Amino acid sequence: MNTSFIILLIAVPLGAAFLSVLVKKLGKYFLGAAIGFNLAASGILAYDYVSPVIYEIGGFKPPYGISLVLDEYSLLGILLLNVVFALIAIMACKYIKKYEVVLSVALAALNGVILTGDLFNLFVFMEISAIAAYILTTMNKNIKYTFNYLVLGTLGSGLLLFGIAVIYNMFGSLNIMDIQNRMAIISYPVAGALVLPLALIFTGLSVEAKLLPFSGWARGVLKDSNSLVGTLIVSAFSAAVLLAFGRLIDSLFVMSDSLLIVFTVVTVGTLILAEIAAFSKKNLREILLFSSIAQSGLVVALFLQGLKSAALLVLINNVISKMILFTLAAKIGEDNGTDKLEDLKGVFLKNKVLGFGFTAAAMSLIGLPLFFGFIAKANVLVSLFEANNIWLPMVILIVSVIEGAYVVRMLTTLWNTGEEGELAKAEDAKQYKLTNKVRLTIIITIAAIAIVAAGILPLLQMNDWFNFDILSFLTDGLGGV
Amino acid sequence: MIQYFSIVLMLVGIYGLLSQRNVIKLIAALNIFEIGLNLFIVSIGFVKDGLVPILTSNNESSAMLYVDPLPHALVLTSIVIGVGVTALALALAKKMHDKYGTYDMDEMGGK
Repeated sequence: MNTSFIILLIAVPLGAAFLSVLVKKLGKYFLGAAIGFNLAASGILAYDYVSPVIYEIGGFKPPYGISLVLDEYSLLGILLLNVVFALIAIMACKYIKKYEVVLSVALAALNGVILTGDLFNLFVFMEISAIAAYILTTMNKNIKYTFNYLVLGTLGSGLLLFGIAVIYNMFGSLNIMDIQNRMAIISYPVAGALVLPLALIFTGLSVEAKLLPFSGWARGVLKDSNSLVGTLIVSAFSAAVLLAFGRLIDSLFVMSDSLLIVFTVVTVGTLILAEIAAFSKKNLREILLFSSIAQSGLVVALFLQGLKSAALLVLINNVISKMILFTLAAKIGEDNGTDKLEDLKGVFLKNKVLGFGFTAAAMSLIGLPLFFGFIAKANVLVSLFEANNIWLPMVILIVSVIEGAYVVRMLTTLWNTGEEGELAKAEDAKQYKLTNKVRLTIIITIAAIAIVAAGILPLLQMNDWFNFDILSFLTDGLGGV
Repeated sequence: MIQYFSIVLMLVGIYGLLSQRNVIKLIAALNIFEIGLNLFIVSIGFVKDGLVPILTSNNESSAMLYVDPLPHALVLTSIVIGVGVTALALALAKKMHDKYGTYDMDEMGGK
């Protein structure tokens, strides 16, 4: 395997950003080239993948230098991120003008967040991606919310750095693997000593991962966002931060029982409260942003329970579904001047193809059979039962009912003109606009088909499909091609 | 001792973020928090009676007691990021003043 592709995933978009500053007119071509390169490079890395690779930057051996880690986990992360980033950029390319540099920097930083094996480097990439996100949200023209996001985000990054500094003070290293090794040989009880730094790191990451009560910025920033900014934040940024969260929980979070309970309460509380908030909302984008917050809570809760594979399946389902849902919600908002459900009765009769794409993504989000979300949710429940955990499946099933209720309400409103008992006709929706962009339609259709295919194929092929392990699938299936 | 001082500075910054509604004061509070944090990071490299971590003709052996140079390098990066964020925050503050004619978040209203 050509390991230099690992660092090029970060270096090429950064180079594109520098070149875009120098030659502004060619910015979109540089960005396009960087996105294309990252897609190809992550594809090649996946194709050639055999075993985990540690890339030493500058040739300095870890833990003395910064290292990037390419294992099944980060490979899945970069594949997901680069594909989603490319699709969003293609679907929302009309908003890219003047933001090419920021998008290139964001692409580099998000790849770095997923790949890095160094704690301080993680902070740097998180901060760079957050600054890119602040600048992107200025597109919403509501500077007050962007400023709120900046203040909360910077405070969160500060707490993350504080936690990292305490960890460095305790173990004398910033390399995640090295810290793990040092934890294993120290004489005092690690869990007790780690309470402060872990609480700080958890709080710091929770701001960007949108966990309650640290997600106060999300509503203001996302409720009026366009199909580029909103979709990027709820899918690409969210995926990268949650993957980094998962890696830290998996490798560093040696928790005492009481700390685990506190973290679990925060994440499960996020899941429950955000689903209730989504149920109570009347606007499409607000419903989706609270649903996104809830899913983040679920993913982190699963990581905390040690169910990495189940968490990844939920994450993938959420990222792909939210990409479709948020893009279409923002487009409906742009075309009709509102995204209030009541004012959009039967809007999908105007464009049934996009409507079916939206419906498939929504069905997958709630985990109906024949959609990918079902595989993800079934895997979560079986994994939890196998781990003798009864209460979390109960919570998940109860919030699934709430989730199902608002998704079905959303779909019935968007497909029907509101006359009960009457057949909805296309002419009833003539006051709406849902313009047909070829790029958008093709991508939404392909993504929707992929969701359905990923929901049906495992049912046909795998004997033990409930225990569908995404990481071994990647190694044995994709990596072993 | 310096670590307690830096933590107090961070708490002052957090208090400022919670209690102030003026955009410029919020940015100042954010900076106070960052300065406290940076001081904390520098302080963890401190070694009592430690030497400057540079090999010279007087300090030839790597076995001698040196202060830890890594936190200083980390702080440089942290300061640069802090400056970048402050610059962006000030640019947003100016935009907000242009739009609303005030720096007070309460007077800006919901929009």
